[in-house]
Amino acid sequence: MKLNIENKILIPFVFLFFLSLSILMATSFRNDYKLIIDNQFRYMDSRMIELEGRLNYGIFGLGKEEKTADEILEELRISNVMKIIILKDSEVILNTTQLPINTKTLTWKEEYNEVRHLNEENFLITYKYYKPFSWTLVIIEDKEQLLSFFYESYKYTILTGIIFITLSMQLTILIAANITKPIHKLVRFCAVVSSGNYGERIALKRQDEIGQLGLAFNHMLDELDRSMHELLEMKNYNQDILNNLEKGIITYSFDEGLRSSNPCAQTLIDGLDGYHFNEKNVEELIEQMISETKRTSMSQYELYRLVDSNGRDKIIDCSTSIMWGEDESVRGYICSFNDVTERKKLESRIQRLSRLATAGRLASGMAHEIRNPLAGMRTSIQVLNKRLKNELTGSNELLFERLISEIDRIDKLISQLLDYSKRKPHLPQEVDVEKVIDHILSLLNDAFEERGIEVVNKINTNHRLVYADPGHIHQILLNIIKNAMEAVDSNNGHILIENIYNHGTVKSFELRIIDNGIGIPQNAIEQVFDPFYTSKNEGTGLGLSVVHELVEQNQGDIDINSIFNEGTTVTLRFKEKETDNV
Amino acid sequence: MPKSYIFLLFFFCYSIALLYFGKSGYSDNENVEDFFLDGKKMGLFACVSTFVGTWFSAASMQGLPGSIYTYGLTFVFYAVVPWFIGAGLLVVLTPKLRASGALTLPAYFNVRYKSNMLQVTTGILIMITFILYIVIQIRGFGIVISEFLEIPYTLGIFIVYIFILYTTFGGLSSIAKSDGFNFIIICTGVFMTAVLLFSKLGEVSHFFEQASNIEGYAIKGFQYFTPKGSLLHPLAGGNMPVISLVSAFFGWGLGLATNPQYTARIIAAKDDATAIKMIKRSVLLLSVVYAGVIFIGLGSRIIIPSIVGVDSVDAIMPFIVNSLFDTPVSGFVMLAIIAAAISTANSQLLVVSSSFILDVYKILSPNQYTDDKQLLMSRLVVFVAGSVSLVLAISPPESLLIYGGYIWGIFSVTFLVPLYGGLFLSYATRRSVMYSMGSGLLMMLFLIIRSYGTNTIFAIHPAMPGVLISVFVFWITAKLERNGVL
Repeated sequence: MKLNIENKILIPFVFLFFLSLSILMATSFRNDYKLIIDNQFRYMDSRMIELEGRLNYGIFGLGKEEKTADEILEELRISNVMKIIILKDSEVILNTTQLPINTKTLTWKEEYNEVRHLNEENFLITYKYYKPFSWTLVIIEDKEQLLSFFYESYKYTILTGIIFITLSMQLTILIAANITKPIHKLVRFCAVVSSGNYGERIALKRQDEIGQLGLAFNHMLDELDRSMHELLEMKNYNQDILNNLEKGIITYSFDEGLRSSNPCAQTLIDGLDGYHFNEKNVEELIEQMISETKRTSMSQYELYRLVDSNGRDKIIDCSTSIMWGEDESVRGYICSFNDVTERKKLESRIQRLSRLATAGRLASGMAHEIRNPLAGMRTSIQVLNKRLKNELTGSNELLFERLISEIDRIDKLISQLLDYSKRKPHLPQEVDVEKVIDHILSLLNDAFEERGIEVVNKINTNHRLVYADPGHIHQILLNIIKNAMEAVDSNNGHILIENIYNHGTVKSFELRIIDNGIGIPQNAIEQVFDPFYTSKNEGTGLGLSVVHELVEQNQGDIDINSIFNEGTTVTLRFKEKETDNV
Repeated sequence: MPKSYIFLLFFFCYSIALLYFGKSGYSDNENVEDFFLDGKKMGLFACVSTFVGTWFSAASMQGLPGSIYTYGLTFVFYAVVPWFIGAGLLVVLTPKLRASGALTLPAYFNVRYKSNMLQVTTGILIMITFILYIVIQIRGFGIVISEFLEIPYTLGIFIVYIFILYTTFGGLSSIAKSDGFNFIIICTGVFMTAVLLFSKLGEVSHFFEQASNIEGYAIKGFQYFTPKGSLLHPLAGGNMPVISLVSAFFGWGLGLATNPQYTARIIAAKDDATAIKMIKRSVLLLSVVYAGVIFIGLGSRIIIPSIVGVDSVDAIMPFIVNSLFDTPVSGFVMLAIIAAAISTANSQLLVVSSSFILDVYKILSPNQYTDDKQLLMSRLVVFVAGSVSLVLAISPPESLLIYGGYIWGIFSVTFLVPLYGGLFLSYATRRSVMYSMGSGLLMMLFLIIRSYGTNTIFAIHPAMPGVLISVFVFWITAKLERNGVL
């Protein structure tokens, strides 16, 4: 049982009051009772002596004339002056009291010549053996009648005791309440403060220890208020930083339960909905890393490439570490992650540009170095051919022609290389992409029909204008559509051309050419823009390099997503023409 | 062991329990609103406990069974039915009273009629009336304790004085807890008595037949002779005029509907719904207990058709219980009567104190003391008012029920019109209220003085003419004021 402080003060006092008064009253009751009984026995003793005297000398003839026992007994019965019982051989021979008496209790031995007392339940009995007649003289008193006066008078003592106990308890309750009231007030005040109301202050107008406690409490609250204010500022500051971080931060408790996350984390998770890596979404990947961190007690770092059902990918940079408590115990775990797709693409693009530039310079240098001796070789062969014209026959003449033809082919390749390495003139203007595509499709129509390829053109006519060089756009699209045509199977090929208009801050035109061809292996995607990289038997490997060069030149962007044996999606983005440029 | 010692033991146990239940309020009260109204946050259980405890007074526990024993069922229509009708009127009043935001009934008058004087006057009237009414409770207790413990009446009333002061010092929260405990004691006493009487009646199927056949003096030497068949008759076989019953409603019924001890509990409830539920559930509980009390009154008369050695109807119940039942049962009944007296008296003392502090002192005094000092003053008022009632109870009125009817009648003639009339007569002003209160009170006092010393049981209750006069004066003065005549 929980006792409050008031009861802890109250109960001992009440118990003491009650105990002391009870002992006092019980002792008093016992003494008074004993006194009454003793007095009564003394009174009965004196009456016994009187009875004996009367038997010996008194009304029975004063010793002058002896009377028989029966005569004396008769006189006693007639006179009825005393309430007595006389027994002989345990038989009642005289009873002037009319009270029932148990004679078996009146045992007597002759050797004693004393008055005996019996305190029965209802009676007080004094008896004595009277030798001359062998009688037992009994004087009896009704105890109930005797004690009724005592009980009546003692009732007031008990009532006074009850009143005293009641008053003393009331007084104790009042005092206890008075002592504990400020403590209760302090407790209530603490409850108010603990509920978060730190601006409250307690007013205890007392000079004693409790008053000092109140003052100390107020002072402590002032300090607490100040510290909390500082802490709150610091917390808000940190929270602001966390909220504005362009990185997702998630913290976990020691048992790996999610504790908190910043807004960016949620945005990233929402944006990665539908993307998976090894059939796990980003949250599951993070949880897996947290479990690994917990298991190994070491920080983890992973770079995941998550792919959605359309083959689009996102690259997530994810790292976890342990949060340590003050006592070097593990307080929890923290994970920071970020979508680095764009950054990775940019890095890749820079690398690619660097590679292409190097390849361009190399090709240009090599072309110049090769072309001059090649021209000399061709001239010499032609001179030789003329000089030996008459001597040459049959197959030898054919060899000369082939030599010249091969030199021309090398020259053509060199011309292409020089063309690739040379920066093309860039004359941007408004280009109707739809028209360009229509033109290309009409050019390739025969080839499509011949191979049984279905081409679907879903160009949205509302958003079809871009600001670029028309020749470049034509070249880019021709190369890509031709590549798509070569990639798909005959009779089962399908090419879809569609565009998306981006309403974002930078308005852009996005064109997708989607085929269901053989696709590109994942490890080859990075190399497709490299010069001379080709998977075809008869290709120079410059087509996509040229496309990339032209896209870059027109401030556009190109992406290739491909799933091997399923198809490829080429996405082109160009800025839409700005109003003042129209 | 003597019988009185057993009763002393009962009384001692009751005292300890009462001390326990009453102690909580001593440290809980922060200010006078906590002290008088328990911070206006009382839940339904506490509300019902204190409502029924306050309602069931010595008049219900002693006066009613004694009167039913003597006069028959007519007293159910004389007192109990008007009480319940009065409770119905309280339900109507509850939303307006609580919406006013007033802490006391006189404060409500001030809000309604914009008069400090009206608040002070009604506050003083409540103080006087309740000090007089507490005398009933003290007398009831005194009779019981002197009968059972065989001690002088004066000593008995001093004992009740100690308990009333103690429970009131703790404020309404103490009173509510002790009232709940007291009401349990009351129910135990009433139902134990009813069940034992039921077993002693033998042929219960002939109960009504036996009651109808009762004839003769209920109390030997008492002036009222019970004619055959009158005990179950609503008009006591023609002895009770219909007008007396109707007029009793003006005393008891309307008095209850305007009584500040009930309005205080309505205000103390935590919300309107709790206040209304409190009244409804209390009436339901009380109707069950009153059924027991009625059975006790009639059953006692069947078993003991006439008694000797009793000087008033209020002493009949203790006498019968003491003579019919063994000690433990009569001990419980003794406690029930004591509980009824204490649970009512402490509530009324609190109302006296709140009237002084909130309606008189706060309006008239320029000094506004701290909460602690106001609490101390409130307790001092409790002490002084209790002491005055104790002194008055040394020479008490003859019948608890008749005297109670007069006191309730004072509330009827003074508070009924401003309280309920103000709800319906929107143009009523302070002046019309003062005139109606004054005229009603004067009429009632005049009739009481005129009928002093006569048998007033079967006469017209003086509250009826008083209420009628006050209503008339209220209506006519309001009209005249509205028409610019006054």
